[in-house]
Amino acid sequence: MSRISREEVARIAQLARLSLSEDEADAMAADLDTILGYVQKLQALDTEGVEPTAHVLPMATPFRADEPRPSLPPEAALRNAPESQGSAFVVPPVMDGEDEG
Amino acid sequence: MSAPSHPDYEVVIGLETHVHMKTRTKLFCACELVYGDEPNHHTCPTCLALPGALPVLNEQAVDFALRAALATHCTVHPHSIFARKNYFYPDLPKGYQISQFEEPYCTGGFVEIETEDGPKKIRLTRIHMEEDAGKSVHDEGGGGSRVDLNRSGTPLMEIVTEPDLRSADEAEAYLKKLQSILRYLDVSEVDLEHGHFRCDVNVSLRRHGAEEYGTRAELKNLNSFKFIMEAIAAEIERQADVLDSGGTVQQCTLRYHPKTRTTSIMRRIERARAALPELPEAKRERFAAEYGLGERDVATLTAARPLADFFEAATREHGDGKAVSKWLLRDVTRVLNDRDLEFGDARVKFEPAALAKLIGLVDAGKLTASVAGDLLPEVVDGADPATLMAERGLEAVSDTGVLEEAVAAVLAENAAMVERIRGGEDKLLNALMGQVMKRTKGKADPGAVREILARKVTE
Amino acid sequence: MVEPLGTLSELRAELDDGGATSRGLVERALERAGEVGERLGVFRHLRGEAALAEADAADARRAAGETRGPLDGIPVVVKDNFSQQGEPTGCASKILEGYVSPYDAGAVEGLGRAGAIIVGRTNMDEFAMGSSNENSAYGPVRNPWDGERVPGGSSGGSAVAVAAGIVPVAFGSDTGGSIRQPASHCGVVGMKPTYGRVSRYGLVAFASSLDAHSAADAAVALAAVAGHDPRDSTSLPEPVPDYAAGLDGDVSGLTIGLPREYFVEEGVDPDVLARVREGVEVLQAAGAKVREVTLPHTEYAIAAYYLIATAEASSNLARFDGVRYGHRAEGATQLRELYERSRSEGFGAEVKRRILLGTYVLSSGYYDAYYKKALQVRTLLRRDFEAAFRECDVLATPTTPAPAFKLGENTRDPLRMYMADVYTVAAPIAGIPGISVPCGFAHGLPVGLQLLGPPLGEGTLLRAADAYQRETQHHEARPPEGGA
Repeated sequence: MSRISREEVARIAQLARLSLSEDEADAMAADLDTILGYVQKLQALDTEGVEPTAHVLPMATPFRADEPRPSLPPEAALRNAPESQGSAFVVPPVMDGEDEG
Repeated sequence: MSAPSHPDYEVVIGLETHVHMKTRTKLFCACELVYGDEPNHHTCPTCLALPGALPVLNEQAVDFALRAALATHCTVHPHSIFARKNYFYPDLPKGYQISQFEEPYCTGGFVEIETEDGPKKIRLTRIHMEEDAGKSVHDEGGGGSRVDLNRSGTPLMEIVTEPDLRSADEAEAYLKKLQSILRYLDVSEVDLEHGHFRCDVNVSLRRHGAEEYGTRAELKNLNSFKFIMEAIAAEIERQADVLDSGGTVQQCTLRYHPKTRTTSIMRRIERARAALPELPEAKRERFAAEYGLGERDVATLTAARPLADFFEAATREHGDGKAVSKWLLRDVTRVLNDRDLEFGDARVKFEPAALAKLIGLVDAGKLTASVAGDLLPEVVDGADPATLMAERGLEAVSDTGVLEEAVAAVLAENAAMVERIRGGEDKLLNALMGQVMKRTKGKADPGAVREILARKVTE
Repeated sequence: MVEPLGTLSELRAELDDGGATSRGLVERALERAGEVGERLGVFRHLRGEAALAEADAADARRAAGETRGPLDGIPVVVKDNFSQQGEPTGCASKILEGYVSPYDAGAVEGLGRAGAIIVGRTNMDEFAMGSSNENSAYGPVRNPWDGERVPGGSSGGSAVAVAAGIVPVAFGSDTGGSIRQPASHCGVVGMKPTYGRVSRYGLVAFASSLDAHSAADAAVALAAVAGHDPRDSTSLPEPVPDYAAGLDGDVSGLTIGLPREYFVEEGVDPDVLARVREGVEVLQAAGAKVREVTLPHTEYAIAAYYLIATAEASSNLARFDGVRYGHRAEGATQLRELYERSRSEGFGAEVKRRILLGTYVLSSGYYDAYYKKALQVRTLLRRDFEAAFRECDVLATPTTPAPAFKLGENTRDPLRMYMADVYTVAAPIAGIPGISVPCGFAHGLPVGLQLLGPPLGEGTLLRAADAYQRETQHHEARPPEGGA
């Protein structure tokens, strides 16, 4: 029984911007299938009406005063950039139809 | 009903407006918000999304957002959630945008607009807070794109309407009204040129009388009124063509991935309510009642908050709202227009007290209206009217001895004209009047001059 | 071969009585790191000259009578996921190759204020994803007790740095058990404080933690990094107690709960269980009361933990795109290609596996069934602990179900690897603190006794662990020098 197909793994990989070789995709599909099989055990629990805990310690969001603090010097911000021009990061062109999907 | 904007279809428009808030720093980090600087000069580990950096919420942004919610009659929720909207793009450094798209801090308000058929309430689905992305500048030559993250993390309000707008004109009226409200609240500059204001427009068509909405298309990231109007018109045409030829309109959607964060804001709501400024509608009513001004003057005075505030401050000093209104709307407006300025511009040094003083000098007969008008440009620049008057000896002349002398001199120089006046050409009296005024450098009290002239000519 | 360094208290005494200088200690630590550390794969980076310069400054402070506190001049290490200004911060991942942090993590600042000398950055499972330290892009860390075995993970390098006598105190991170589990496998004390007790700012993980030889040393180390940091919205504002002053050896008022679900025979090495029971008896003999409690949702903890952790990881790791820093694929001509190739080349198999699982459980159609369900189960697990802590002050359990396993033993089976965290995942899910204390040996390998406390119960945990160590000598055992 398979919970996740290789095609589905390929689709997720695209969403996550990972490219997998055929072998990798096969191996990942098998691993994910095992793991998803294991986590099915949660379905046995009745969680009707149970509030999800997003944060382990309940506390109000702390605020920051709207006061500027120094930004990084631009050379520090750019120091790790694989490619830059002036003080801008540079990336290859965005192809037509390539967007936020 | 107003004229349908398409003969066969009813146009249904909903707007999602993104407005930059006027905070000093970004939504989740303390980098200063600066427009137009060199790329990446205002970034830090948080807005660059360096490994390990964390967000901390700007309280001013929350307060601004609350003001907007209250002013648009929204219901503010005690809990809202900042979640992650995941997508990959170079100007989105974390790979997700932090946004309240799922559980916004407020819902269900309205903005009232004027239409040909009278006032109309445009319902708001919600307003939520989120962070802006950076900017990618694409190289024209087909090379790479340059990424600037100065804007990354700028606080935004996204204001979403129900599909209540029925024409491009209504959309424009709504946007202008929204702009005026947000400027009034002082929560955004709403400066279109600086990208403070961007709009996503949902457009769909349905046959007149149809109940169901048609499939909508979303036009994203429009940033000028003109472009919004043009885009709506073009989209109406496009969809009408598609439908006319029996096709269907395709919908595009985004993928959402939430991760939750909660915030409690009850106390802030009360504080924001207390700090909420009076809005245009309320102000219009009050101006009419309190100052006895006409409808048109009220509308002009209340259209923008800086002008309204100036008017009220000057009236407090002077006492007569009508007089202040007259000076403001006629003379002061002309001076500012000549210089391409408006109230609210930092370059305008004009104090309400100075205007009140100037009008007061006219009221007291110390300055003639004409001299006061001449002085106005300098007063607008910050000069004190009384000082100018004293330094230049401009005080109105009502001493009859001085005036009699001036009139006598003018009459002597224009004997021929005097004869013609005596012969019945009354109109020429004005020319003599002008000469007397010129001789007294405009300081003469015109009433007194006219009286003396009339008497002496007939003597 | 340089002698192993002693415990924090021993080194402190040597510095204070003039028997050693900070420079001398740092030189020894660096030399040992180059020998033993090298052999065991402990380090990603050694700071050398920079650390020596800081040691000289510490010596000057001490000479001037301006010592900053018990950690001043003491060599320590941090895991490779602590941001440190001017230092490579790589998370043992190829995707961060060459990245140098322009800023300090909150915990690193705390160490700087305390005068501690960070001599190096320790190897780890890539992005703290793993339970064996075999997921480092730079090779595994080896267990000093048996070089063919894993040290545990993900903070394997930090635990080994202490166990092998390179430094007396090491800092790491503990997400699903990442510090208690390696501490247990390596025979040292490992402590995970309450979520939010130590700043997460600049830490590329969910929670900070530390290793030491004794609870007393751990108390001193924790005090240096604990405290409120306004740059971390989850940082707790409560003042930091004087942990060391609370170590009075008295457990007479303490009630220890033994969760029934953690003491089932199935799936646990009987020798491990025996050592843990003996440990509890020691505390009982010292005056603590013992009672059985129940944590009924225990069997769901691993499933919930991995769903939550992978969902969050898939989103957290989206920022690694080859644009602003880190690995960038050569010759990509379009944006999408740049993303896919940089990420595929930069991330290792386990990280990819978790990104895929996380993306899947967050995707529309599965969100409620997996992610939301896991968050609801987290609520049930949290309530389990709340109920248990109404009946006892601390919980005692095994840290791991078995001693250190062999390198490669579990790498083919990711699920079996996840099961190694069975006793340690519940604490991070509930946000509570935990400590693992050496409690003897099984099959010649160290075994850990885990104590769990309620939120902000660090003081109680340290007091109980210290009381235990006053009665036992397990923490004084050192791995054989030639054994590794």
